[in-house]
Amino acid sequence: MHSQSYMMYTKNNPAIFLKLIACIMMLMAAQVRSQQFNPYPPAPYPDRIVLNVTQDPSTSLAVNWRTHDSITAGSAEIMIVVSNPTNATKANGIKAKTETVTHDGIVANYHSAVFAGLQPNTLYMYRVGQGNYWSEWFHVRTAGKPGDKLSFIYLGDVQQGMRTFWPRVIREAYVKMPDAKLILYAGDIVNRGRNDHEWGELFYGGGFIHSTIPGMMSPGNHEHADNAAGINEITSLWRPQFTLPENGPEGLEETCYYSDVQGVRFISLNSQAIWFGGGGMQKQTEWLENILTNNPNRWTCVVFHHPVYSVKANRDNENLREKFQPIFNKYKVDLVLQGHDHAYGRGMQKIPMPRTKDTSPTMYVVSMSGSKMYANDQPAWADKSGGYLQLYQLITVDGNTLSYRSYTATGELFDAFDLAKRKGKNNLVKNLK
Amino acid sequence: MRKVDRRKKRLSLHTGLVILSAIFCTGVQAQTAGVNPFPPTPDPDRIVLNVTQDPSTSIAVNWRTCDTVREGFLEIMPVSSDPRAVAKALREQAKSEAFQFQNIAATYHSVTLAGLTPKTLYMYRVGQGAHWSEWFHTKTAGTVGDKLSFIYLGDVQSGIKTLWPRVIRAAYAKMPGANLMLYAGDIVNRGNNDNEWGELFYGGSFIHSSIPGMHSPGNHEYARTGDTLSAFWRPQFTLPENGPEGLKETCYFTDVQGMRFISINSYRVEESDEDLRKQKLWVDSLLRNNPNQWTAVVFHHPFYSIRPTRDNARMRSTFKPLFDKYKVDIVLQGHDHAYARGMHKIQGATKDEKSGTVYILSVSGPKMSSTLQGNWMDVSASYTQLFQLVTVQGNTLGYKSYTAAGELYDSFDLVKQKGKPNKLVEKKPNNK
Repeated sequence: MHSQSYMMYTKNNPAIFLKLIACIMMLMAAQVRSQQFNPYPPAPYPDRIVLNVTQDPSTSLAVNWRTHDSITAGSAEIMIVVSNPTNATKANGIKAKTETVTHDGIVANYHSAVFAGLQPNTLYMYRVGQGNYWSEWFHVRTAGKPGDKLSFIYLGDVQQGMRTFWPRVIREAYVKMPDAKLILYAGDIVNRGRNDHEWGELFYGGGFIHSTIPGMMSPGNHEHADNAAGINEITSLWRPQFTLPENGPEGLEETCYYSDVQGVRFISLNSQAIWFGGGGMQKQTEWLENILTNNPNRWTCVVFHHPVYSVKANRDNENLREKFQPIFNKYKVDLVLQGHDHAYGRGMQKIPMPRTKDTSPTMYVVSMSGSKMYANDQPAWADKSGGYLQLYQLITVDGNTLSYRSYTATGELFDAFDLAKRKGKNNLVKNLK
Repeated sequence: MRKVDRRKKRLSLHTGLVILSAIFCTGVQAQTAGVNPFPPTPDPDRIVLNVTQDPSTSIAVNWRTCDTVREGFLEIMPVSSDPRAVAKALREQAKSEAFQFQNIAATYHSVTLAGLTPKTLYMYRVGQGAHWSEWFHTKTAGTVGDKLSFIYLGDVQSGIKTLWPRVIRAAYAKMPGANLMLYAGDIVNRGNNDNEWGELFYGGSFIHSSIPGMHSPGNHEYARTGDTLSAFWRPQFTLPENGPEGLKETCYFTDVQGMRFISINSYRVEESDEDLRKQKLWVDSLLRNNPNQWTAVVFHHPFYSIRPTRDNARMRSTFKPLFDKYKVDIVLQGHDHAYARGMHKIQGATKDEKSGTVYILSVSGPKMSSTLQGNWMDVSASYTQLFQLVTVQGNTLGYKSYTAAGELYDSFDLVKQKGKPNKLVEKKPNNK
């Protein structure tokens, strides 16, 4: 109020206005940085409200949000959806886990809650907050059971244009598939994981979509940075702002994990930790073998950042091809969804299976959703490739058929194939575009 | 700190002023952070598309910034999935007006741009300098004969940021290709309350910037004392200025793909003889000279209410004869915080005729009325938040009303018949 009354006062007093300018310029000098306009300040109201996959999204949902650090507690309320607003008072509340995070010069409280004991394939309404500061009520549908038709969205790197060119992509994807049960992010979700402002842009860009469809975030190199000791680690915002399944190898919780949704096992690998070799790689090969050995699901989809086959001539991630592709081959992983290269490539039929005449049992895809773009190098392994295109992918799994559709930001079909399960053989690929 | 020092040396007077403006904005933001969740900032917000008289070839967009931003631009082009292409976007300067009301100082910007191609997906952004919105997609309306889709929402009014957002979002998810979105008044509870408009724009988020809105005012967009329209209405919307003098942007029409949509300012009809007379003449002339096959009228105070105590006799006696005479197809209303639809039990132009017009009132926000009494209703509901999706193709108008939970609550088709009133085909689910 103080500053506003100055503004009104000065409108009629040019002399005082000039003196004020001088004063303010002096005051600014020491504080230009801290005074820079922050479009995403934490407030008493919850923001950055994001749903995440749990290990079993048919009976549980994880939600995270942020507030100003003066809000020291939070709750999450949920009930089966009602159209009569007076019944919203019947929701069940659970207390959130609250932690204070100082990051990039911003102090905020991060809250998280996991709703458990939910009914499968049921539309719920929920809200988060406390006291006088609550979010709106959001709708979210729990996942169904194996056998129910599954829909999900897969997005390649956001990284750039989070608040310029990317919002249209996630919004188009959402309106084409509003009943998606999850959204997969193949890493490099922002450009600098340590930059609070970029996460602000990401949450702005997706708006309520983040709070409506559970996200399955896999980290890329841009979510990692060297710490003071020179160790490459995930941004300190990652774990406070997401609640991803903690069923991965020790030290890689919430970056390497899996979720079983309606008969599909979705696995996130932390390919940055693989890229650095050593322990991060070893831990993940062992863990992956184990969860693929004990996999009751008909379909398996793995998401990570650095591609097994690059779409750029000057890029290669040997570690992934040497250590992980044999595991994908052995367990016949159906679909591998990746990012990193800022161009599009998709292939299976030209990829050989070592020591056999067979070809790869796995379809590999690299895509991008943000505005950082490279040209199409037409990689030899790819059945379809592209460059300088923003894309999103909508995938459905129904019984023995997986249908994959890639659309441009403008809604045109760019690539399409179906995979059909066959007994004792590789999936049958039907190229449809 | 070193970086800051170097930058300081480079400051010219101009950049100094720019930074100063940003700091003024930030100052306002910091001072009010605890109280105002929706402060104006250098970044555009409250970005809203509105219908124009011809949405197939023109677009109207409004937005807000803090008051130190004094100009703004619209950039627009047919969509491209290659981000580099936007270098070719057309740039149009906005009309920017200083806005000072109560404790809010802001600039409202608006652009109306003609010469667009029908049925074309465009991308646009608004802003200036370092402060631009994201690129939005919006599709221009098609031409007569194309299938039309629109959303109709009853009163929002309360729960704007609690229980209403789910309704507009569910409507949008079910009909993202809607050509327009009709609001039947009482869009907020107190039209002069900036925070409530902030909640409305928060609740609908990018939907407001993707589908043109057709906003009709209710009594709550008027101040309780004095008969002044919300100070925010005209700065924040750009609705067609084709209505009677003194009622611009509240009483207007738009023609979309063979359907004429008319907004009547029903509050002014109820309150003022002069505004009643002006609107009656205007509506008469619009209906008499109407080249469209279909006609919908939207306003706040319903002809037929849910209780005798809520009767709006002036609205009914003024416009009912015109609607009968010119065979208005559908009338979309609010005000009563319930749902009702009627036609079969309503009298037409004479005692021997039945109404050829369907009358509907609905509610989208959580404010609810209880008892429903009225022998005009064919279908009704109380204590239910609803949204309506309507399509028009050729001779058939398909109407569906859904609950907030996404369940179909009411449905019918209206079919045009030569020389006879429309045939209403009931499609209401059996369990309702």
